[in-house]
Amino acid sequence: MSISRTARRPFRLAALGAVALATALTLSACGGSPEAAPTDASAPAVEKDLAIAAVSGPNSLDPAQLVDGQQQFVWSSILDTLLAKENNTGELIPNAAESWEYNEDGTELTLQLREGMTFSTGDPVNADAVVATMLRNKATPGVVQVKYAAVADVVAEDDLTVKVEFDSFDPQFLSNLTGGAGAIGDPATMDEERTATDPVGSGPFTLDTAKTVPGSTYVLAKRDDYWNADAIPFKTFTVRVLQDPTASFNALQAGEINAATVQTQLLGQLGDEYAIQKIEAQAVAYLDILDRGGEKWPALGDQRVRQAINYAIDREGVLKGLFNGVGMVTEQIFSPYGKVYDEALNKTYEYDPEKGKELVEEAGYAGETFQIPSTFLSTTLEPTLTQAFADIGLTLEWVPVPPQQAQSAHLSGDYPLSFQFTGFNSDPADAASHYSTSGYANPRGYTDDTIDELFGVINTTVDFDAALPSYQELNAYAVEQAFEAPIVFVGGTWASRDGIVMVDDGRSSVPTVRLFGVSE
Amino acid sequence: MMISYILRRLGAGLILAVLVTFITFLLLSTSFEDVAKTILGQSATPEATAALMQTKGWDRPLIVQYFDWLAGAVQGDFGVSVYTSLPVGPTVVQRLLVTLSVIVPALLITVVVSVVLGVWAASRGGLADRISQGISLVGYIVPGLLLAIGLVVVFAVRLKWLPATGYTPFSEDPAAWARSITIPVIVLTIGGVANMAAQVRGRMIDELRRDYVRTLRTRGVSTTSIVVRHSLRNAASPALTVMSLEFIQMFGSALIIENVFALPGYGSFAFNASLQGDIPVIMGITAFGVLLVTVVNLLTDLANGWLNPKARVH
Repeated sequence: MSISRTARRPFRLAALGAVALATALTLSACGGSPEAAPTDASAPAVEKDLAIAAVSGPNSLDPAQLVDGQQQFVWSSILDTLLAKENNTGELIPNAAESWEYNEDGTELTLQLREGMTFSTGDPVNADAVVATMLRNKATPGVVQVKYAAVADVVAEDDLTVKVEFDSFDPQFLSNLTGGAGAIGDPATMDEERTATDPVGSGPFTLDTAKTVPGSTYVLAKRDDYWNADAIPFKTFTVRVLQDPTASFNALQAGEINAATVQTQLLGQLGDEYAIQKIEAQAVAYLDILDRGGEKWPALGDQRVRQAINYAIDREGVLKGLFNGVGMVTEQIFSPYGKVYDEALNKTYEYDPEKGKELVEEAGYAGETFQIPSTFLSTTLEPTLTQAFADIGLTLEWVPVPPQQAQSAHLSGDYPLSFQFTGFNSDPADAASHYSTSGYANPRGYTDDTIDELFGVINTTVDFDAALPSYQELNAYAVEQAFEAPIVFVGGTWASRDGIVMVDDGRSSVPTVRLFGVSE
Repeated sequence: MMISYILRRLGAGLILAVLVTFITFLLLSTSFEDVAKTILGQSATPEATAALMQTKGWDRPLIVQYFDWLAGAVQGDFGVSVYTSLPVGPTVVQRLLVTLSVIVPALLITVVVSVVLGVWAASRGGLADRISQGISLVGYIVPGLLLAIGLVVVFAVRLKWLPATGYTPFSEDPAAWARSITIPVIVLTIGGVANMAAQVRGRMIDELRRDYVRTLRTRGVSTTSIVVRHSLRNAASPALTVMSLEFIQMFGSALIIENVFALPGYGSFAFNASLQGDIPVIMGITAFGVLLVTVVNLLTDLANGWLNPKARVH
């Protein structure tokens, strides 16, 4: 069996069009015949200047060092990615690669590139460019390299065909091609010093270095020769790095930017001229149980204690009190926009500290103390979690950890628990990150027969829909075993003005200029 | 003689910079691996971390790494940011210029306003003194952050006279530059005046009570002449010290101001580098910071010597 996706033609990002397209462009999960292509769209009569606020600028614009998340707003404007995600569905869609196909065991992925794409220098985007970028990513220590861990080789089959060979099937790889791992660098200039700060790319914009202040303001000018220029209704795209929410709100109100995330309590100050887009879930906040096997902290190896922790947390209270009600309570970590998520699982651990206390006592671990890193992520929730633990007869001790050591502390093995915010990637990536032996959320590499069996299916089943029951079983098993204590899906609210609208409801979760459109 | 003094002071500053940067480097060296993991993100494996450490040269002996950095620094090469790959030296200078372009006008206005208020209060007393002290008190009481937000809401959001955020370089558009720094300068000035006007007032009151003032008065010298030509000159020396301290303090305050107004300045740059553990940037900022403090102190001493012959070196 081969799994394939076939290209669709450029689509327009105007608000109404996007909603229509979201319905029309649903991709089947198992490939087969192509869906109906959207009609050609013409460019809007007047292109607008889009200026948004982001909490961080890009670390580096080197294709081997690209960080996903909000940094993607800038780099994905310069460097085109092989695949993209559909607004409002989150489905993978063609971008620079117009189709893709796995062989039967998922050890070969063939990407068919679109014809006629060029870099901003005028050089063609071809298979050699993709191969050069991928091999460089594989060889260069950095953020992207680890996403090429399963890649054995990359070869150009012909001018527009790339074959990626894997040691074994990597369920996350396709989704990664919508992010840094899928960015295409210009082989002629990729190894030059400029690549980190002003790379040559084939994306819809070029960086206006004269107007850009790195770390503060990034000004991007549209390329009219971009293959999908009609889908980008913006003459310029400016990303202002505004870490302070008040500064961001003031800039929006003063008209210095025309789109920004806004704190819920400030929404009332915005008038009718603002378009509001609420996103219910963009990350999961959870208490990670790092020692799931109880190797160093036997209490946490006892399922009853882990479940007790889940019973102890007043998720509704946290959502209302600490997140202003923006988001959703959850007892599972999979994105509510994905296929693995199961609403029924959210009734597993109704807030019941008494029951939690009984479980802890029954397990014989009452009075246990756990240390946990106190980081910039956890500060807000610390009193609540401390109280939750106290309610079930356990003690939580927060140990201050500097920001640059937060990750090391989580991975060090010195702590039994860790509080985390994690953005969504894809169902396969989230499964691997939380429950595989090499997952970030599972630094001690805990596994058992059930997990092994489920990943055995997941890691060898190329068709995601065929593997879906295993993913769902893994989710249900993880919730039942209480490997983590998920608390809330953190939401957000985008406000925009000047005819700019956000055309995704959060399901795409890939921060690019494609999230924005213009109202007619 | 004077040149030799200046060179000695600058030399001492350089030695201080070497010592401080060495200690900073030693302190940072404990977190090299943490920084490598932070750069790699959530998918950092021990192998990838080790490879990155090797690429960055962080697996070499510390003393070798430090002297490598020092050798580059004395030639003006402070390395590149481990996150952005931007060269540290030019970036620090660029950020410093933004901060200085806010702080220097704020300091100049602070000095002028403080001297006027302080002298007025000390020489007139009564209502003038109460008004001067009232202004100082208000400056102390009103938090700078609150004032900044209030001014932005009124002048940027409502009236749209001034920008709410951002910075325009002077070389690009002087008028836009002036608009972009107006609110930050006002906020810094109010905080500065609150402190400095009280110091000038106190010092002037002391001076005006001295015997030489009484003597000058008995000889018919006008109050204006006594204040401007004699007392103010004597009072200027401690005021200069306060001014240099105020300058350094404004650098600290600039962090808040830069965040609220999204100015791409030195404070926010240093803060973010510290959060991320961007080792070359922290080293560069430390070196520039020490040299800046050295130069400011030197200029203060030279100005003191110019104003007060007793303070001159021989």
